[in-house]
Amino acid sequence: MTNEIHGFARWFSGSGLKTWGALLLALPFSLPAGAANAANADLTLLPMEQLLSLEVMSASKFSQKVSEAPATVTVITAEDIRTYGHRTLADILRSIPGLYVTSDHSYSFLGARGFQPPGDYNTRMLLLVDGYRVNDAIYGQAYVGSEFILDTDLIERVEYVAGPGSSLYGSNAFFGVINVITRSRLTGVEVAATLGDAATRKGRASIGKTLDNGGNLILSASQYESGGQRFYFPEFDQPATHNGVASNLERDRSGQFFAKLSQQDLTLEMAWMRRNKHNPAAPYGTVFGQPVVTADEQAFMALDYRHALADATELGGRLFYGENHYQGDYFYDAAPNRDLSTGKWWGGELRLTSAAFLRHKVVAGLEYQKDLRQEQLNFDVAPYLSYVDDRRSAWKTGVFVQDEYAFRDNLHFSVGLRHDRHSIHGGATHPRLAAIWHPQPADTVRLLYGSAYRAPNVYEMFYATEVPGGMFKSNPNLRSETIHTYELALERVASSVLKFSASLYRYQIDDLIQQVMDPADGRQVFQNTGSATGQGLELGGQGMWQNGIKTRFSVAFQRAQDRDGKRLVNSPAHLAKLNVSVPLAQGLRLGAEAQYLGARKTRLDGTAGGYLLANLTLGAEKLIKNLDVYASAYNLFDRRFSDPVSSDYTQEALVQDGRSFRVKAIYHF
Amino acid sequence: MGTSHFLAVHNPSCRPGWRWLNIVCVIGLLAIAGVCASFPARAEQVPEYDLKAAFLYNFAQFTEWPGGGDNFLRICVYGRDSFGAALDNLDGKAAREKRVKVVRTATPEGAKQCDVLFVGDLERERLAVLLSALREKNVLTVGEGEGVLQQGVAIRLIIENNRMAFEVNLDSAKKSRLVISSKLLRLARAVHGATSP
Repeated sequence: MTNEIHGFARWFSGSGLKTWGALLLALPFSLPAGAANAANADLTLLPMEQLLSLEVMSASKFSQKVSEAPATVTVITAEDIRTYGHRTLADILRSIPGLYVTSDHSYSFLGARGFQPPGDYNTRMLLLVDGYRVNDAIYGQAYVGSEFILDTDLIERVEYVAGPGSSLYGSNAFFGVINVITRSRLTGVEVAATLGDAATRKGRASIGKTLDNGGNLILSASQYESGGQRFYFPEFDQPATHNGVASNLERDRSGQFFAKLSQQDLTLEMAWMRRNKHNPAAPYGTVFGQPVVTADEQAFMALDYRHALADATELGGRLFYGENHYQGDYFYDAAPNRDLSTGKWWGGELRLTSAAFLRHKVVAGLEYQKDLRQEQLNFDVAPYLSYVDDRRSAWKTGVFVQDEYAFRDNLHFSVGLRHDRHSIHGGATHPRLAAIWHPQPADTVRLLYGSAYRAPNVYEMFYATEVPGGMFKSNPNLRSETIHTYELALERVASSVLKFSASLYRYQIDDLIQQVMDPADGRQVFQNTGSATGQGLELGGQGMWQNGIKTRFSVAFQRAQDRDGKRLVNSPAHLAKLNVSVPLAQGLRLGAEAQYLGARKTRLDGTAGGYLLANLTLGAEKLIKNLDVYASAYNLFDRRFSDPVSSDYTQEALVQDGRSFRVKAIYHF
Repeated sequence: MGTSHFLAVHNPSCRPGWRWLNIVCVIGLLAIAGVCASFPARAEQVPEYDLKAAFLYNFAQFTEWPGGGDNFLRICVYGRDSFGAALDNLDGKAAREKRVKVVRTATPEGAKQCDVLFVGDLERERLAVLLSALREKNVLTVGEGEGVLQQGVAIRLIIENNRMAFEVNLDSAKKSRLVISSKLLRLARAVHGATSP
């Protein structure tokens, strides 16, 4: 009998479809009754969240509709960052529905909608800091780990807009746009100190001053250092290579500086970051035990201008200058090798937003960017031998327009179009169309179609070894990658405390750039060989209760495949996230995070198993006057997991961090 | 297309992770339930100005004024008053360690004494003059109607799909040396300001 029950249980749970079927049938009987919204006699006793959900009996005539965002936006606030103990932008992004982050011990890689080819840098996501484009001029890369340009304590909020954004932002807004918004105001002195295991320490000092004209000046400097955990790489388990053990070889050191002067219509912002990372995993066939050292440096300066003109119109402008430097030191038996790149660029943009036309909200703009210097070098240090020496410059311009039209009070249409011209490879034109409909007051239905592109960067096009027998070849004829996305999104405010959302999408990527070996001469070259499609269902919700408990949860079912229908490498079929924030005694708050990442294929058809990570943070804010203290545990259950990596490595997947702890204190003077 | 395709084709029971998958499926179905289930009780309707008064009270709770001043937090209505008794309900309530005092004023001079000032749509033509008089003052201006944010009002109340919502102009708040809590900004339908793209 028990064998039969076992057999049934195994069969039942063996096929997901049957489990789903049974759960679906059971669901109507287990649903809680819908909560009725009774308006209190005294509305001032209700929290804001509830006030926003009450149905109002309009005394005056129906007001003009406000324009609505055509895409779904996820916002992570500074409070979330503190509550859940997010250490880097990568930690913040890990908690966002639909996103996942993997690492190769040098950089953090961001995947969206099941798409993250190992080794592909974050070129298919546009990263903005206060609207300034951070993706650099050599690799078009968005740094999100400890190499991100800002200290997370300076972040006011992070807005993630999922979906194609090239109709507004141009290249790189392939899967989405991340806008990191810095704190608008700081007064006094703030000092933060962090201590963690694996010799981790971080310090920050920030000063804020309110100026006489009502403006504000913020200055902040941070320093971070971590010794790294002890790792075992079975591929190197031989006596000659320390039996595969790498300890204290993952040193990570970074320094950041930030300044912001804001007054009236003008804001001047400056940021600088330098980061030095040791990678113990011996990529590129380097000597195991001698870590690869990568040094990244990024800086920018941006002047932002915003002015309200008459008639519900606003003029915005920006002037910026940016730089990025990269140096990689690789140790081989023969001679140490160095990889260098330098990018310098400047640009400007002008933007006009107007709600002057009845029922229309129009945005139009013009952008120009000059890549002054794009330099890539690779050479053996001693004896000196140059392999790659490419220096060039380029420019690009873009013009865009978007109109949101209130066709009916509960039906809006959004139409956007942008045309870009790059000096290296011609033009691109991309639209985005959306319909936003409210069949009932509490429901929102969004139907969206958009296309986006990613321009090939100078690394893919021109990193070539001219020495005879050289490994890399240039490809000046590389075209942009394009993606077409269709999405249907639903949102319902279920009660005064709960909101649910669902999104169904499908995308098609063409001209995917991949590094292949040219059969003619055996050299590596980037070509537009690939094509991929993906589809998925994302479900999620948010709850904010009157007792202060907050929760956010999301589940993603996704599948991304190549043109032969084969599932892509490093593409998890399932993602699940849960964040719960519970206030305890006075000033104490507990933030718990659980993230599940499904199994992923590696490049050698192996599997990097699925894993569930749990993070816990206990925060005591203003427990003692002016002092906030946070204690966090990451990967609480010490789950051992690996992330697939590219062919730069001997290994097919790299083991990641086990459990780690951190204590942080912030003191305001 | 979409769901049915990959649910039918894909067998999700990868051996090590099937337990977690079922947890994932349960969470997913609860979310579907939330979206698809119909909620029979219809919300009671709330009078517009009672709700607006409650919003003004909440805006006061989530805003920081520069220090100083007496023990009263003045919530004012400018000119033609559509609130009536709805606003008087706020009088004497505790807010930010002060007590609310409801004031009705019809002149820019009177408005300078306010902490929160509501300007109705009926007073639209007087808005520009009022805002220039309040330029150096720490007054949280709340308005309604198209374009008030662009004119310099800090918060705009809107009725949309029979629900109250609001938009914030952070620049206006900054100019008045007010700090609006991110808790409130998060609930806004839109936030305009120097730091948004």
